[in-house]
Amino acid sequence: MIKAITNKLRGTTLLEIIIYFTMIAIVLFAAMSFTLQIFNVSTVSTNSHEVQSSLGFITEKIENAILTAESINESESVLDSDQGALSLNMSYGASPIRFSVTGGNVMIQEGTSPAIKLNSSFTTISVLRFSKISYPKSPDFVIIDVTANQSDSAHLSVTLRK
Amino acid sequence: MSLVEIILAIAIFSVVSIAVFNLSIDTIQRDSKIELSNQALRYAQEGLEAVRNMRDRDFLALTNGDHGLNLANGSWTFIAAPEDVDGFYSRTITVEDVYRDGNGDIASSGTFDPDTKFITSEIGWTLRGIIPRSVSLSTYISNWTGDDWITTTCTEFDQGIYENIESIGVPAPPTDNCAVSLVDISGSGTFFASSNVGSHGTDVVVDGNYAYLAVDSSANGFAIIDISNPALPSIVSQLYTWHKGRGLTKNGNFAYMGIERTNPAIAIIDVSNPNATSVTHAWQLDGYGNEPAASGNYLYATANSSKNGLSVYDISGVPFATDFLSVGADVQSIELNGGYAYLGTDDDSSGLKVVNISDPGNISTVGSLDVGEEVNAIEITGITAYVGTEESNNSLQVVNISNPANPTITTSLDISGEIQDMVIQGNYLYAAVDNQNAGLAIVDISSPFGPTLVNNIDIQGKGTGIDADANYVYISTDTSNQGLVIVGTVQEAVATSGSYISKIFDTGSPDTRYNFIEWDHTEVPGSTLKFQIRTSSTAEGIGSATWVGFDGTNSTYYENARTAITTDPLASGNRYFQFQAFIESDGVSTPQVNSVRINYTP
Repeated sequence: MIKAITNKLRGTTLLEIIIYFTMIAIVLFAAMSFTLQIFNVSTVSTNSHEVQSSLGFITEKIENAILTAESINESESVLDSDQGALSLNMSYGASPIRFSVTGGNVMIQEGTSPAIKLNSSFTTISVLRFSKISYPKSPDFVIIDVTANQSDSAHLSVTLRK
Repeated sequence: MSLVEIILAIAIFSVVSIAVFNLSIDTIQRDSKIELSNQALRYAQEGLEAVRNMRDRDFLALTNGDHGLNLANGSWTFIAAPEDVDGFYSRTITVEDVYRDGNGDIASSGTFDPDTKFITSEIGWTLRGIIPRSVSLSTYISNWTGDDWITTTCTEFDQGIYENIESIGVPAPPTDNCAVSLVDISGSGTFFASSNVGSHGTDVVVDGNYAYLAVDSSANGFAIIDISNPALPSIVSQLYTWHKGRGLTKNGNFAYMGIERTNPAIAIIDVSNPNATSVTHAWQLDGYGNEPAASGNYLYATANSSKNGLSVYDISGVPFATDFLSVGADVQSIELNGGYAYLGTDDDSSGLKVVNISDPGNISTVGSLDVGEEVNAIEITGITAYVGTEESNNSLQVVNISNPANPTITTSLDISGEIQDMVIQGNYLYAAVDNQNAGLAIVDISSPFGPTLVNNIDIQGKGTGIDADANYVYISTDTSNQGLVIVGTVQEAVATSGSYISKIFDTGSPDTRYNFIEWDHTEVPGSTLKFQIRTSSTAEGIGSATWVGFDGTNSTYYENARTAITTDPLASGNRYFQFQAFIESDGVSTPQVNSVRINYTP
């Protein structure tokens, strides 16, 4: 009887322990990898959203200003340059409105008010380029190119409605 | 813990981990898709903005179809579609026509709007190189830029210079609406011939090579004259009809004549052989027979009788009466139209009567009209009845019979005498007039503003009856030895060429840009219409400026309405503008220029 009980209470062999620990190690390693990957994806996605949001906001702000502008103040603008600036004479409200890029940030200055940054702190604007097309007796046409974080860009064109 | 349990646990963990991992990968991919779509929308919007820019420069550059865009030398132009954008996207701009309904709202069909286009800007790309994706934006583009200088009223046209061109009023809108065309040089000519039938003529009907004459002769009240050679009319037969012939009509192989007696007062004459005519039937009326009318199987006989001024007979066989009607006055003339008989009577206060004859067995008066005097003749075209009266002045009354029960006078015309008979040929009404020195009157009835007297012609006697074919007018007269007179009809003609120079238009700006010239005109075969323009910096200098066409040179013309304007590059300036219209015709009919529009941006 004691022999039967002894047989029932037989312990874990060394080999089994080694196998168990190996499996656990593999699972833990995989779990860590997945976790790191998920954190990485979250970061990339957040950054992408941040950049796209900044680009969208910047382009929308510039577009709205151009649509309501009276004319382009060419003497205060820097055209056809990657570090460009656009100054717009407005028919109402604060005038002029000036968009420029400084230290990786797109700045807007309305009238004599202090300049305000349009992009988030996590976004660096490397290119803000304005090109103007003029034709006699026709409203000016502006092409805008914005590049953020050296990789993401936005391109749009707007005609002055005045 | 057994091995099986461990394996099971690992498997569950793996499934969950893979699901979470896929979710994170999908998040990355979605972000990428959104980024691509956002940029595609910006390119699509750029397409619409480019089209707006093209519109601002030249609306006519927006040609229908699918296009790509090209930016070169500071301007956008259309190229073949699709356009490659950034080496990843393709862009197609579609331009379509726009139509409007009766309320002026945009509709799928209706009136074409030449100043509005529907624009679609579509951006396409492929996801992972195989899955096609696209976004599109649409809008309406209208040609609102620029000002218009429009010449369309008589006042505006009269400020220019006419050469073999005349202005004519046309129906509004706008008020004083006008058109210009080559001058009308129509004329009635000088042709004149006559035939002696031994007495006065009282009425005439022409059919083919013969003129059938009612003669004021007790011996031979009816005569047939060969008019195959109008210069030499000759009598082929004369017929005894108991008394003088009064009124006459013809239908098929028979002539129907009113006779100046009561029995018989009406006769049916077989004229199948003009050389041998005979009376087939003749019978009594309640008074002297006047002008009859025949249609189908029925004869409508009129008489100098207040009792039965109008009688209807079935003439399909032996004539028999179907109905009689008293209108309370002598019936002197009759004209059938649309189920009604329009009677001219000697009732001074109600000279025109309208009778419903849709049922020949039950005719009845439905309307009447006071035209101021007795009515001797009626001619109908469309909804207009020309009523000839015994009024010395304004003997021609124009009556609207759109409602036969309620005819109304629209206008009247003085043609220098009482009207005895009338006939309409083409755009002219010819009237036999009781005027010794002007027995024939010619009236132009082509204008929507009312008839105008063209000419009074001396036919050496008073006119008593009249008929016409395409080339000649045949008038029975009260001249004994010229019972039938033949003159030429009006031969319509216009000048073969002419030009119109507009006034000098001041745009008010020294650097005006001219966008396009457009005109509205009525085309006629065998004619041409073309334009040239000139500009100058001063009004005084424009007279020496060069007329130029679509390429800015004197050797071309604007020949298609709505063409982009190219000014003379050597012109002194663009502030002042003139256009010149050149019209050519085949000498018969002329095109009409209804309006000219110059679109410019000062």
